Amino acid sequence: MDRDPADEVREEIEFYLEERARELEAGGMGPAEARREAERAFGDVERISAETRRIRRRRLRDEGRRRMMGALAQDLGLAVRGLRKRPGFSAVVIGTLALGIGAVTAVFGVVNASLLRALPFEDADRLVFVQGAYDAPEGPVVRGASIPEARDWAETARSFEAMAPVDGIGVALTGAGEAERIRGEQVGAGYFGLLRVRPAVGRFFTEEELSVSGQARSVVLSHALWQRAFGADPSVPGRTIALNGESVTVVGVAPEGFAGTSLQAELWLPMGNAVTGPGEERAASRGTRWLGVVGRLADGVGLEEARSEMTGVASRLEEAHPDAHEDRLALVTPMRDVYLGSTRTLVLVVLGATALLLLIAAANVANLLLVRATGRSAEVLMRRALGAGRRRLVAQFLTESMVLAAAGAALGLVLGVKGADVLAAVMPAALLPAYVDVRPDLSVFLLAAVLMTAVGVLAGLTPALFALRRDVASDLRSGGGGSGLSRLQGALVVGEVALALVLMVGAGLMARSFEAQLAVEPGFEHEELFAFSLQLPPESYDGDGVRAALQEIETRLEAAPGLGPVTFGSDVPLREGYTASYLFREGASAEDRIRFYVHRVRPDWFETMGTRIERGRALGEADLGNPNVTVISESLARRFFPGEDPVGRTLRLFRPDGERIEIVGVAEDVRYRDLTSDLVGGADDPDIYVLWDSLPSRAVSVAIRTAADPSGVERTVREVVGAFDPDLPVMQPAPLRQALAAQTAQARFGSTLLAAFSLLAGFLAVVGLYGVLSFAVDRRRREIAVRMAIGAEGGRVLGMVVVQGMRLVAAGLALGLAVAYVASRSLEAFLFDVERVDPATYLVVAAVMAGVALVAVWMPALRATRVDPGRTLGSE
Amino acid sequence: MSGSDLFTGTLDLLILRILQDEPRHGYAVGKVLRETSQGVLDVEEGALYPALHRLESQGLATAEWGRTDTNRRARFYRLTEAGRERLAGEEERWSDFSDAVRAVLGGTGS
Repeated sequence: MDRDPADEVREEIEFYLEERARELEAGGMGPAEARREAERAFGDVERISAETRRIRRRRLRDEGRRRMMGALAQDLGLAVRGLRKRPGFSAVVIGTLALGIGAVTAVFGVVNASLLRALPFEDADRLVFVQGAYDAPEGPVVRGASIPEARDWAETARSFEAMAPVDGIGVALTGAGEAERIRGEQVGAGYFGLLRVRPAVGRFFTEEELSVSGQARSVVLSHALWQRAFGADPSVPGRTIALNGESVTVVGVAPEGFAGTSLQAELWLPMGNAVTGPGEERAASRGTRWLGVVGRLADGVGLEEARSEMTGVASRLEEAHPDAHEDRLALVTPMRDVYLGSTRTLVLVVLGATALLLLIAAANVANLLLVRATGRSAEVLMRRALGAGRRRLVAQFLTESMVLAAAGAALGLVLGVKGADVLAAVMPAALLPAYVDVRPDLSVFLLAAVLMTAVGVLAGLTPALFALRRDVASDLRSGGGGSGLSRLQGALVVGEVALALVLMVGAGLMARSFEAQLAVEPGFEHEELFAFSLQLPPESYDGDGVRAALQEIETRLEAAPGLGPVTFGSDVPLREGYTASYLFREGASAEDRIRFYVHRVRPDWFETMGTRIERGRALGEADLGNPNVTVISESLARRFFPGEDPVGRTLRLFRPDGERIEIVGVAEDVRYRDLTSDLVGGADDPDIYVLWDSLPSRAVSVAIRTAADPSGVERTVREVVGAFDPDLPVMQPAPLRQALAAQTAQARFGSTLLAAFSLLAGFLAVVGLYGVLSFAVDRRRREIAVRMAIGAEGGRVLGMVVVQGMRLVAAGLALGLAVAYVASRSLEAFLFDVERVDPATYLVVAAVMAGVALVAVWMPALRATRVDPGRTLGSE
Repeated sequence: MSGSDLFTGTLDLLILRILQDEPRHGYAVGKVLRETSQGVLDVEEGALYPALHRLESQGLATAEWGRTDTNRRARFYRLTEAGRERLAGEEERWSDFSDAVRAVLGGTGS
């Protein structure tokens, strides 16, 4: 141990000065003079001392560093060698860690890409959607804004730098390559400006084009569409294309990578366009609500401030226009929340599940290391006897666990990156918005490093703590005493069982919810229906021509091989674009209006779609001359004609004294918009059906009853329609069950992932339990031998071990159930038709876990009974 | 020669030479230097100490506390193997150098 360099240097130099003075004294000088002369000859004592001290200190520092590096290198070498000598043990530990770290990293990859990374717009955290909503009893229901409403907002709101209306559209593109259906947006003034995009080629829209005259014929293309259809020709401004049969001129191209606020737009039309524009009448109507509005918060304005301002704006509008704006709200929602919706919570819940899995994995590793440490007790004792300091021992154990953790983390990182890719690929498109790209960035690597360090230190501390206990020696001799298990080991196992139980309860709840969703009757034959949409352009088809053309197409399709009955109507379930309005019961007042969705259908609709008629009859050929009949949905009947037979009653459309229609039948509820909303309770509005023929529309959806393979059906459809009219594109061809699957996508994803993780967790926990008990039995061998020697039967011994094990399991189950009760709150948003404290789920899960644990406990218990007392005691 | 300063290089070398025969403490080294090296330490006797510690830092010498024959505590310096090798190398170079100088000066002086 070196002394303080300052003292040593001082002593050394003092020695010199004294000896030098003595030399001078011997030559005849007086002591004081000699000393002065010695100091003078020496030079600047202070400066030289300081310099010498500096040299010395630097040397000590370098030496210390070298020693530490040497120790570290030695520990690393020892650790690696030790682990290579036990490849099985190392493999299990590394594999367990890789599993845990990999799972967390994979899900974090998705979390990072969807929640943490920036959205593809400049200053995206200042962007919001202002959503028009209707204040329903169960909470606000978003419905879209009307044009006058959006204008009022933009004009009065001061919290926003700008607001612009936007609406998603789908158009048929012809005149530039093959006829395609293109997704786009129609936008109002200020849209591109507030998103801070500039045209890559040409320009965006002028004020005149954006005003709602219905005359504008300009279009802006996306970069991708420009490349695809025009080969990135820079002279594209001025070229014309046909959208839905209407000729429009390209005025500009958007920058690369920009896909609008819908994240998938390939072209943009101004709100005043001639193709899909609302037209003057619709644009002036406050009752026609269909717009989204995107806004950028003004500098320095917070979300809450904007929210409260818009609440005020909405209520002032309600005062000014009491009919049109009754119960209307203006909600301000950050962009990301609108895109992700409840997927955000879902992904975070899954992340939480993987964190639990990692904890279980770490606990297993800690137990494994502890077992190994006790196995090396002799080595530890010897090292301590040889004087290895406690710190060195801890350092050695930590080095070992860090080496394992590093290997596990490296493998886990690889698994995690690949896993994130896989996750994003299997996550239904419905769940992840288009901007999510799970390429790993720095944060993923950082996470892996942090996890590795945390797990390595935590897991490594357990054997280190063991090594530091003073009574290691006596502990060895007594064979562990009592239970053979340290309290720490027991606690770890209890923890693992509890965490695994929490995961399993979560998985169980999600699974039951998913099951309930699948059990919802959609109201139509979802397995065997294929649908597509058509839009008949006015130049090619006049009024009667529309009906004739569609009937011809219907006939040809029915004649095609492999296709069954065909029908068509204004829309099919689970697609967008439904029309809603108000109706009134006979004699009802204006306040008693009922919001409803109307569907125009052909007479054979109900039969082909497989929708049951509960009462009365369906619409039929006979009604073709009579437009004033309707079939209503069951929920409408139950809500507004409770206890009576609505058949024969009449309803008024749009106004209390409006057109009268007669109810001729009641159809089962069809899930047009989503599976889980409560149709009877009023969270969603009911549907009625009228004959399409009484007001034919150019846009229809065609439904085909067929059991054939969808891609084959699509090909046939395209052939038939193409033969009829090559310029008529087939839009959104897809089997209906696809849309249904998208509805249950979230539940399916959530329950599948949770099930997978909980199985893994259960497996790890049970393996940990087995390992720990085997270890305990081993340690208690002598005690067991003694018992058997004095006459205890195998059964008693078995019982003893089983009880010891099951006591741990019981503690784990109790703890787990309690935690699950609290944790299940996070799942509430996703549970359909299942209580978060559903007793059946909890009981079943606990019972399963207990059963599996019993098996894991039984095996070491059996082994205990095979202890040969003679051999065991004799060998001591 | 190690060290950018010719003086410190010379001093280091001389100290190594002095330590070659037997371990000595700092005062003893200084005394020999004063008696034999004709003025190397005239400016500052204390320059000895940074030099000694430097040699120790570079691993050319080791030091440990001991007792003088008058039973006083002193720090004794001793050459290491590396130190011996360095000395041998430097001595060879010195002899080449002085041969060269002698050749240039045409043998005047000894």
